[in-house]
Amino acid sequence: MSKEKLLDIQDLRVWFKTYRGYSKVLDGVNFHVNQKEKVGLVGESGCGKTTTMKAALRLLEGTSASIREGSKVQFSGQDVLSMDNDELLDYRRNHVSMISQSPMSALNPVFTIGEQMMDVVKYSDRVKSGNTKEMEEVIVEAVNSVMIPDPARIMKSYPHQLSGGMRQRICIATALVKPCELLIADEPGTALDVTVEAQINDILRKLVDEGDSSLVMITHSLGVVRDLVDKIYVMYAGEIVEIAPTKELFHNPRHPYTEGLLASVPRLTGGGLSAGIYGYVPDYFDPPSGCRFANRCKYCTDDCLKEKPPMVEVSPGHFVTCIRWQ
Amino acid sequence: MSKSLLELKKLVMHFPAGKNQVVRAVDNIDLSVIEGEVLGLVGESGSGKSTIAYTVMGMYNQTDGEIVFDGDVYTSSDKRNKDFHRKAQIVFQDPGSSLNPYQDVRTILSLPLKVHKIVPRNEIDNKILEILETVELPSNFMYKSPNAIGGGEKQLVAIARAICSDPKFIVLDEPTSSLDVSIQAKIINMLMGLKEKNNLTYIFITHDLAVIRNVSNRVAVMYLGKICELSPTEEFYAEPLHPYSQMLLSAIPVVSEEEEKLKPAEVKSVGEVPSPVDIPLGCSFNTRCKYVQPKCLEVDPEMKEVKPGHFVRCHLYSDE
Repeated sequence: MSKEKLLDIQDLRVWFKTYRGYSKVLDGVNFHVNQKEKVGLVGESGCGKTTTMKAALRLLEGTSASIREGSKVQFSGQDVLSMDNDELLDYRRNHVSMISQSPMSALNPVFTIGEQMMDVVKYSDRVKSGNTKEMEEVIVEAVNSVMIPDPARIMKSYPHQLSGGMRQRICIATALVKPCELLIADEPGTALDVTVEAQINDILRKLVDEGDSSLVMITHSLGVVRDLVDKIYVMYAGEIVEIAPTKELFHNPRHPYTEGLLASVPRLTGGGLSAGIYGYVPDYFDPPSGCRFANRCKYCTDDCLKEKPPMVEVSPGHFVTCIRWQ
Repeated sequence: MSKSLLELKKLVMHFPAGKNQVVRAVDNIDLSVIEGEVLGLVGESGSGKSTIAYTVMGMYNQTDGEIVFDGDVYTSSDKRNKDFHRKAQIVFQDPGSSLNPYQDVRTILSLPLKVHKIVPRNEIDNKILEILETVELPSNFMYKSPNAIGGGEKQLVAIARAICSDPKFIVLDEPTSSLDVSIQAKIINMLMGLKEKNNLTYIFITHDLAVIRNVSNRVAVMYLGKICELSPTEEFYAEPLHPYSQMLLSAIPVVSEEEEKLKPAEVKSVGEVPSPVDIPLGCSFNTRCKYVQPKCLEVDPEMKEVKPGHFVRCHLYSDE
């Protein structure tokens, strides 16, 4: 059975207009998620992971970001970038959900949890009858599924009365009260402690395995995605540099950046730390015309500086954007 | 003979929080830091680790208990003198807010050099260049402002500032938590190199157990203001005794199978973390512990030396 592409992003270029000129952050990103698939999007701060997802949800409109000509974003075969208002609303209400990095700013501090979650159910197609009691039941079930005790009390509470971990779980529950084929989790554990983060990741894994949705997990932590996703996209300076099934990526990283990233992670086995990756990310205002990682790469040659390397399939399902991959 | 550079004796730091409520941030801590060691202080948010850091540095006056640094005793009414500040320094978690954005690097580094009269005025610039070289920053950084440099570089400036006074002891409060992993390695290696070169003693505060594994000699685990476990590093990772330590270690995301094998069997976190204003009676971990017994709900366990140098505060180990 061939898996249908749920989210298909092709040649996405996003530039930010500033007083200094254009910051050319995303420069031709290709990213796709199939049905019932769990995908990790890994990269360090500023590499453009959140921007990519926001572009796919058309959340960049009204900001200084512009999606350039030639970019394509399709959801279940439908062109997202040319959707009209009604289609866009339907897309965001009934097909995709996004959990953001910071649960405090995602929740409105002056409304109770119940009011906010009710808002989401009401405007989605989840309870077509419009019956309030039915909607409340949906909410209670969602809150229970994220392991929060006493949903009735929580629904009457305000966000500041809950801990960070609880707020993040409420954000996940909110994503569940509406129909959703694609769940995008943007660094859900960053603001949280490691034990709470582990709990949240368990919940996400369970939700996707038991339900019908796909998951995109955005993070800078390779360790977090190792247990959670089937396929990993590694991103650097606005470009996808490597794509591989999870196990394959850890055993056989082919891009120098991935290699450097893996080596920089402190190990539980001890043995001291590596030297990290020498150098700094390129200036987006004046990005190099060749490979964006060239100035930090220990395998760099003259050819690397001339043109952008093409993406090559080095083994089934394993792609690298590097001319020195052999 | 190992000498204690810093000793915390029954240290208490409580903050008032509304009517009749108190945040018991640091709750009766006994801890010593041996000269030349790196003591890892580990715990999640709200455990009290930064509060200990600030109290030791004199930024807070402790509610009760004594702090003994290099032979000098500080009680709750004592202020730190200039000599203390020369010998003890701190590097904060967020270099974005710990460096004054209106001052360039030269101004930032001049202050400790002037205050502690490290070199005569006309040699300050040269000394600054020397210190920049020590932290491997280019000399043109002297005239840069914090806004113009990246997070990792800012933290290097914060470290440079800390070593200006030629201290003996540095508190590193989550020095790399706000940085990407590729820069983290560089900063940590820098810190460890400095330690060897200048014979420094560190308290390394972090929530990242993988980092601690690679830098510290001993590990102290904190939970809601108390120390649960204190142990030499290798022993801690080989055999964590406290249920909370096991929970922490089993939750760390790792990147290889060898590390996976080293982790204790997964201990899922059950229950919620109590609010520090409302710490439960008995052992503060009883709301999340899978080994909880009736005794845990009533009696707060005492710290006990279970193996040489390995202390645990848990009823599982307090009965013979």
